[in-house]
Amino acid sequence: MKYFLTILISAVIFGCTQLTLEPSDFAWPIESVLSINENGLVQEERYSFSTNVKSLFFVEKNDSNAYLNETVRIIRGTEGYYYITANEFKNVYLFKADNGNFIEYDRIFISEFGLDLPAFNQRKPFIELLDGEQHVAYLNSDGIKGEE
Amino acid sequence: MKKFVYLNIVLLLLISSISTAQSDYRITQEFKSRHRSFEIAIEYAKTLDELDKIKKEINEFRNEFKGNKELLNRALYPSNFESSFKILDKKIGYTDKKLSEISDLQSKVVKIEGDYQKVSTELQKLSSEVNILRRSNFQLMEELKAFQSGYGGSKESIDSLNNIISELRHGISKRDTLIKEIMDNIFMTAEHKIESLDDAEKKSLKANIHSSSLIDNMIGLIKDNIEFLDASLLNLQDITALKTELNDFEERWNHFGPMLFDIYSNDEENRDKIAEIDSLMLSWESSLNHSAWRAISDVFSNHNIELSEFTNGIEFEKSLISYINTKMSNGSNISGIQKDHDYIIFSKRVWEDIIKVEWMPFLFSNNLFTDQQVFNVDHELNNWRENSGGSQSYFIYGIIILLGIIILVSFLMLNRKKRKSAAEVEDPGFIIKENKSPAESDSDKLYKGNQKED
Repeated sequence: MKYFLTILISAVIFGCTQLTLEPSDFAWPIESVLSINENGLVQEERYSFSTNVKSLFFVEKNDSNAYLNETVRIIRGTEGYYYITANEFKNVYLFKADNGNFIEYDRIFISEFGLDLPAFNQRKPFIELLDGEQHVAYLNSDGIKGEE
Repeated sequence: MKKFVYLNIVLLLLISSISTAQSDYRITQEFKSRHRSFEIAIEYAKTLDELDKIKKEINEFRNEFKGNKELLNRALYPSNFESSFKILDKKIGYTDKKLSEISDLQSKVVKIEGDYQKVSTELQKLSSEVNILRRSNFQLMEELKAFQSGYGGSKESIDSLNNIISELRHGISKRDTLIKEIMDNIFMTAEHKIESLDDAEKKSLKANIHSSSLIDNMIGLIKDNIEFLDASLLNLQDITALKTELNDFEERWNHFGPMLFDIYSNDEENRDKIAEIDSLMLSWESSLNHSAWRAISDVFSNHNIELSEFTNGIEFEKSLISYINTKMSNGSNISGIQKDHDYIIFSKRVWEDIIKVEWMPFLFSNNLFTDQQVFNVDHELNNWRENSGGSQSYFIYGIIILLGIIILVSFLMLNRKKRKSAAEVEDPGFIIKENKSPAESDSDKLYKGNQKED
């Protein structure tokens, strides 16, 4: 009886534990610059996903048509978060993929004037944010490096 | 103070390193864009020098991006830095080969253009010579016909006729050669690639063929040859020379005829003319063979042997056998000596000495007569010899015996005459004295013996 209870308790404990594969690295080597179609959809060829960014532009610019003729820049960090921004955005948005959606994880404020020519570089364990050829900040899921 | 300066320098370096950051995406895009530009430049390179210049630029491009090799290896997935340059190298190799071929072809084109100019000039010259010869040959042919119609048989007439024939033969032969040269010139550059000639090349060939009136000239030439052969009585030497010319021409025609046919496959008029040349070639050969048979017949006629007409080997054999049989069957009506004479003239002087020795090599080499046919004729001749053999052998033996007797008698009489005249010059007693001499000749002894017997 004693043995039986021990085996039962062990089975319950192992059965409920979440399996984790580590270490894992989700970093893309380079950002993707994606054109937005008239419906607000972007399509990534190399990593094979698509999403609609209409609401992102609406949140950022308060304009439901602000996405037209625009591009978004996306890069994935080592932790697996997607960093998204676009021209004249004041923020960099961090998303995580969940159940067929992009769920906002964080929003990092960069500049009140917006970014003219934003770009991401993969600089593990950070994501470097540039504006044109100007370094702006190193980002991670906690925000801007040095400001956490 | 010094510390402050160093700190400033470090800060400046940090600021500058920070402010000149480059987007990886931009680097990758620039790499891709320049890579694509090089691909296009390689494809559109027109000369090997241009390609060499591109190679150098690619080398510089490679060195420029070497520092980003790691980034590009990841960003260009599934390609990478090295494979991107391998693609360019491969394209350079292909273009290099293509340009080398083009360069070779260009040199060939330059050469062909030069040849074409040369050929065109040569063709013009040859064509005008052919025209002159054609007129001259026509005139000679008319003269030949006129002469033959009033042919008297005098030595002067025969000499003039022979001169005309010789001149005409020379003229036609020269024209043959010119036309062969025209053919060689026209097809010289296209000989090995007639199937792959493009429209422009065919057009150029047609222009040359047209400007030299090649097809019409060939038809005219063959007709003239046939007319000449039909009108003239030629000797073996002439016929052999003409046969060589015919073979030479035929060989060229067999080579160039199909090319001409290919060039004019869609031109009905010229196609018909080419077909006409084909049939005229056969007539030419047939005329030449007839000419040979006529000349052979003439050899027999010149020895008063009238054979029935023949125009080929079978007919010739039949004609000979028929003549021999006629002679054998008429044997009882003519004297033995006449029979031997006929046999000797036919068999020895004509058949053996002229036909077999002189004509047979020509007839054999042109497949006009066979060994079997010669054997058949020889067999008949053998029968004829046996048929007339008695009188012939008696006649010959008789002559030999007669000649022997005549020689012997003449010899004896001559000796006797000599002795007699010698004895008359010397003293008659001298002969007795001389009898004691040890150096007496056998003839003297014989003479003396004869005297004693007398």
